[in-house]
Amino acid sequence: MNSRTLFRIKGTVCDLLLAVFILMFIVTVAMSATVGNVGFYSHFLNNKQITAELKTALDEETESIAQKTGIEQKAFEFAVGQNKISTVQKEMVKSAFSGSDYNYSDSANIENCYRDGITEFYRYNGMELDQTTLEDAVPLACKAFNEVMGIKNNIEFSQFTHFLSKTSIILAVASLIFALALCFRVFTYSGGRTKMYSHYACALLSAGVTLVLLFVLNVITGYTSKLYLTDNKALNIALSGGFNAYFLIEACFGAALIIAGASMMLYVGRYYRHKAAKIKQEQEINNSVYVASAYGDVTIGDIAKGSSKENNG
Amino acid sequence: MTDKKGKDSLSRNLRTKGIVIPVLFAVTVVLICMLLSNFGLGFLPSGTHDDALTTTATTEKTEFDENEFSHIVQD
Repeated sequence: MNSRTLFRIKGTVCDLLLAVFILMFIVTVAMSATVGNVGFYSHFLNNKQITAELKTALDEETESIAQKTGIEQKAFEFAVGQNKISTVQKEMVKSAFSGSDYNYSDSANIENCYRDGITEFYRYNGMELDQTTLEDAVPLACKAFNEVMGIKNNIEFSQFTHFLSKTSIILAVASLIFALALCFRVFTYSGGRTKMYSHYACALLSAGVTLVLLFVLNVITGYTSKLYLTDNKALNIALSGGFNAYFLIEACFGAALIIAGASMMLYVGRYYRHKAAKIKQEQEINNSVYVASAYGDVTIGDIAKGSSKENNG
Repeated sequence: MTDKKGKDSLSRNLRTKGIVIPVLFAVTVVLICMLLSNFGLGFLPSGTHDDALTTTATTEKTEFDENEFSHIVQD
């Protein structure tokens, strides 16, 4: 292997390493700002499918409470129905990210909702309600509501979200430092000449194409929709929505990188073609301009050839 | 002749750096990601872990009631 091939391999390895760090930087920066951010998921919690999923789960729970306490199951549905669930479901993400107990009675007044709602249902239908039974049923209904809105794998999930929000920032900073160091390495490696842009362009294109390809793969395989992050089906719908958006954002970054890389590559190609045309034009001028010398009239090109021969000799 | 050779070399170089290497890199990274997701990523929660102590539901705590204990002693 000659030194020229070795030099080119070293350059390519450098480009690929730079691509890896650019990729890591974008993936982790987008991660901490989107899927690592509690507020991001709230945009995906306004989904009717989630409300329907929560209502079904809550109805199942309240049915068993109704059988235990003797209170009408419809009274529970009347007290906390679809409207209440749809207003409270935005808070689900807080409970998931908090990593600890979350009581919806504190924030959404669920306890009073059940107490007043059940009383109102019995009064409206002209039935008698035993207060002791009501007092027994309300805490059970609240507990059921908390369970339906919460997740059981809180520790696992809080570690995961910690990784997404905090660890990703550390990784992003580390990737940025390595990427900048490699940029400087490419600069010194190419001696600051225009060809260094082709190395940068190669790295940008590699990272960009990868990001777009990851998005396409996710669309084809539906990877994020199969992610089983929590034991709460409704929350998983919102999470997969968030992850889909994250991949879309990454694809946008990827497209931007591809445009930047392609522009750089086109610039390099145009620069060297222009340079070659200029050299050719200069040579043609040199070969057509005659000057007087001791050997008669010679072209500038001949003089240049002669001096280079002397230098080589 | 040399000029044509130089132009070809430049085009080949740009094509390699602009298309071949990025596509190969992207395919390799995507394949690695697919392999990792098949083997199961360690930091991804399984969603099936059932830890009663960490449930979001309000938990009923059994606490030592000092007053109750004093009644028993007095009785």
